[in-house]
Amino acid sequence: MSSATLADSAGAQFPTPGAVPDVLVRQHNTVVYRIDGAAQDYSRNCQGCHGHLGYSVEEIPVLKDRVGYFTRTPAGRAYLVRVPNVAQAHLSDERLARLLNWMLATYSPAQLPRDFVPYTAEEVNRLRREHPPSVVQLRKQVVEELLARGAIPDAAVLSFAGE
Amino acid sequence: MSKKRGFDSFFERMSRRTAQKVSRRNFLATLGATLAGATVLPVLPVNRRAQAAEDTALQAAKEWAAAVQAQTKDERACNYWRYCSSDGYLCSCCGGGAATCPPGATPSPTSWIGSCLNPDDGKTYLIAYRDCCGKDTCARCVCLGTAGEMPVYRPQLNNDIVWCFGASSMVYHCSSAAIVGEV
Repeated sequence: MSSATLADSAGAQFPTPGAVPDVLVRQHNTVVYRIDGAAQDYSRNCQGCHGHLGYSVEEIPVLKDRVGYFTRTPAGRAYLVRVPNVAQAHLSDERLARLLNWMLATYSPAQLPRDFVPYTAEEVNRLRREHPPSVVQLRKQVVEELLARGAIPDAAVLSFAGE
Repeated sequence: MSKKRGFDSFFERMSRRTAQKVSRRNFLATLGATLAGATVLPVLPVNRRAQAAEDTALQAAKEWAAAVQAQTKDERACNYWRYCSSDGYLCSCCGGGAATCPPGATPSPTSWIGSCLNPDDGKTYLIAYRDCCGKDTCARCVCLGTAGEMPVYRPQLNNDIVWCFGASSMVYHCSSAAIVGEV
């Protein structure tokens, strides 16, 4: 298949196999794609631990089919920005908002509320300045509220081995 | 082998010194002056943090590739282009390959992700530095690249820690470098 016929949903072109000048890439006919925009920010800042499919080892919270639940309450929505590796990411407010929206749409669209409003740069700017004394405590409270409101089927849905 | 180590540690020290000396403000001021002659271009504060982090990483990758004369043919040499931020023993010298673990060692599902410059096409590629774990240390072909690496208080971008989270054990055997994508 030529690169002219392969394209992802954003219309980007895939390179042909072996396009990277590298002895191993040629030997194994590895295909290397471009990663741009929010996907690139995810690769640099999140993918190493959370995985390119949105899940990884049991100590690391699963994003796939789970993280969207948090946006069902204002406290949960705020929590996602206050997670230390999110709030302190080497990204501007605009790019962090774009990354959060991309991440939710890519890994957990079915869990978003029907009236989901995408994050804005202004919102991210405001929320990432707030440093809760215990993010672990904050998460517990957020999950309790989600459960009380019937926004998640049970508490186990958002549990993870690292907590 | 000791000469090679001296060579590597010299360039590692040079990279660290460069990273310490060039502040973000200075880098942006110099870049602006270069682009616009005498006038320094104003840079929007909201973009400064993201641009500076990636520019620094890209600059470090370019400097490393030039300093070690990076190559794309020999995966057992420290100047193989993917190893710009590799810290440890090369899996390709330990019975595995640049991106494959030797028999008996398991690849870590987690890694930190850096970026290196390919000297043959001038493009930058994201590299996942996954350690191979669960077997006693290999102790062959030690290399140290630090392009784009952050201090340990930002562990997700640090290569000093052992990246075996989720592997069969935290016993470190060797370091691999898989291409994630082109950026």
